[in-house]
Amino acid sequence: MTSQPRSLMAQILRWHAIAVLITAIAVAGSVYLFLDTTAARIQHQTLHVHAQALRQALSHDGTGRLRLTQDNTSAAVFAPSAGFSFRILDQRGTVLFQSASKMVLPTADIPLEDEESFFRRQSRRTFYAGTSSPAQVGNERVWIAVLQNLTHPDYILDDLLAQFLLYGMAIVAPLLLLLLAIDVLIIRRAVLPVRRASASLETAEGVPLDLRLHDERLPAEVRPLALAVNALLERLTSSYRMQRDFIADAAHELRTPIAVARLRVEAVDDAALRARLCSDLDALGRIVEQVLELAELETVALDTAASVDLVQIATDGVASIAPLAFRSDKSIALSPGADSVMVAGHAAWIAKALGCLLENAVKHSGTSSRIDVSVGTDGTLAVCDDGPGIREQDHAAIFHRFWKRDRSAGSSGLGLAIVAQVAEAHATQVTLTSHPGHTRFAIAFRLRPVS
Amino acid sequence: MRILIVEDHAELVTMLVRLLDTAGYASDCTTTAEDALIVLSYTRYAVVILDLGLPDADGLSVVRAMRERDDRTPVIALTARASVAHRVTGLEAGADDYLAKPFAPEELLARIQALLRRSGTIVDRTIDCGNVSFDPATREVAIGGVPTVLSARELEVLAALIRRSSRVVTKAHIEQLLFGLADDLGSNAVEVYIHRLRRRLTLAEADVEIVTVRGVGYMIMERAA
Repeated sequence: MTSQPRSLMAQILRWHAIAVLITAIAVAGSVYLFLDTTAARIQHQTLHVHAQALRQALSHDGTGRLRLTQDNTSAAVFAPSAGFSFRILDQRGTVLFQSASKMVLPTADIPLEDEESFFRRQSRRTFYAGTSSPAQVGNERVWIAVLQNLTHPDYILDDLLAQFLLYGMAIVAPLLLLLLAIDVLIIRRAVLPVRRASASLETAEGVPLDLRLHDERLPAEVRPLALAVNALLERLTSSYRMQRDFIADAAHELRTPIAVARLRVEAVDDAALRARLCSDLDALGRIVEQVLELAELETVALDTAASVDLVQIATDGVASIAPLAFRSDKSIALSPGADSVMVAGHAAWIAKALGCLLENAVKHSGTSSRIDVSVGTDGTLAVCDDGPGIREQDHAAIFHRFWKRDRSAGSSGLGLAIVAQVAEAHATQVTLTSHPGHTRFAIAFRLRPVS
Repeated sequence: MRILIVEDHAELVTMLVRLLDTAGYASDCTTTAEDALIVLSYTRYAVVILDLGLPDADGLSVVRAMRERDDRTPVIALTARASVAHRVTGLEAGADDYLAKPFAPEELLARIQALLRRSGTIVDRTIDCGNVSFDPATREVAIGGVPTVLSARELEVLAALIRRSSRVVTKAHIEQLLFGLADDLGSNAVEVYIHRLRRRLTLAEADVEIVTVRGVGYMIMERAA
């Protein structure tokens, strides 16, 4: 389906709402059905009682004619206001007697069956419930039909039913909403420890090796996940430690032999050879140094929270590269935007990155070039030169480790990779703009207001 | 003048002894932190060259132990674990200087020289840069062998520059020196005295130049041939 994460809350609410709705409809339906049958039974009973009363009132007079005696017990049936009407028919469908309130139903519509039968009819806008029951009076067979006008104001059963449904829904709907609201609260409460655990992972800065998920109130369902995460963190920690130790050991094992070789070279008599060997070993030493620095940057999380003065770092950086720059017939200058610019960062690594940028500028900007270091009040440290520039297609590759424009050049190809890594460790990046006569590397650090 | 080498890498020790010998220093060696502290307790050394990666303890513990018993012998820490953070902790622990392996032999000798000078063990007769020489004891300046008279402030600026020749002296540092002499100086005092000094050097045909590192400071260096 979609890659969007599905919220537990939304799923539970959706299914719960559907379940509650189905239950509500089922309950309402069955209650309605029950009430409807009960109402029908009561109605049949009423009609039956009225028909019985009429049967009691029927008798033969001496002449063999049928007579209808009205007494008090059946008065209700004959009162026109009650919404009842009756008709007594003979076998041929001839009306023998009928109520004062005229029955609207055509006589032909009254079923004349062997058993008492109940029916409903509609005539114009009026609904009727009726019964037609056969009766034997003497040797004469007659049908007594009693009809009740269901739309008559005195008939309240149907109204009750409709009202019940309306009020029932009015009560059930808010209850349903309340149930869903309670759902939300329950889920929120249940998920709270999970949120807290997530926050503890999210707010952890750098590489906290001892970070584990250990909220005792984590729901049982989530605990396996937490345990798995902890086991993973454990493995990562140990591999991180191993790597860090390896870098430290490698540093030691590589640096010392080079140091020995460097000292041994002093005994070489041939001055030209000695100079060559020295420069080779220096280059090798530099590569080892930068490889180790890069490895350190990639494995050890830098603490970049300290307040550092970019102007101070830039001043030191320019001062230390200046002798090399002037010896290579270049000029170098610092343009600080203020007396001090405080940023959040790791001073030693920012200095290292600046050193790499300056070395890069001195090496590649061509003779008699001008190198300008600037520190903006917005926390931007930039190194510009007016050298030949860097081709557009090399802008991305230049930050890759071991990338070199000229394979034979005496650089390790790691300096700019280190710069990029330092920038990344400070949650920023190196911006490069270059065209012939103007190349600018800039890193925008996060300002740290002086409290 | 004896130098103590505390280093466990046998070959490196041999090379260091040879290097120091050529440079005119006698040296002793120990390979562990424990031995180093014993040796240091009964012999005075001019400088200690201390490897930080010793087999029995962190070299920094040696420096700490020395400083605790008030042994002020200058220490140059040598380390193969030249992580950026190490340098800071090394200096904090009381090491006077710090050198990452591999290092150029002349760099080590220069650092030793600097420490000896700082601790007063050796006193240079003169400090030279090109054909300009400065005698810190008498505060005399000679250019091309000819004694040259400078004003007190010019001399102060030149002394500061020549002590750190081929390295940058910050403008703030020079300002401080000048303000120590008088406090009625204008904001461009440093520029004024640098300008005067340059003119003096040119007139006396000095083969050095004072380079401006704009925004940072000044540097005196030999003029390129």
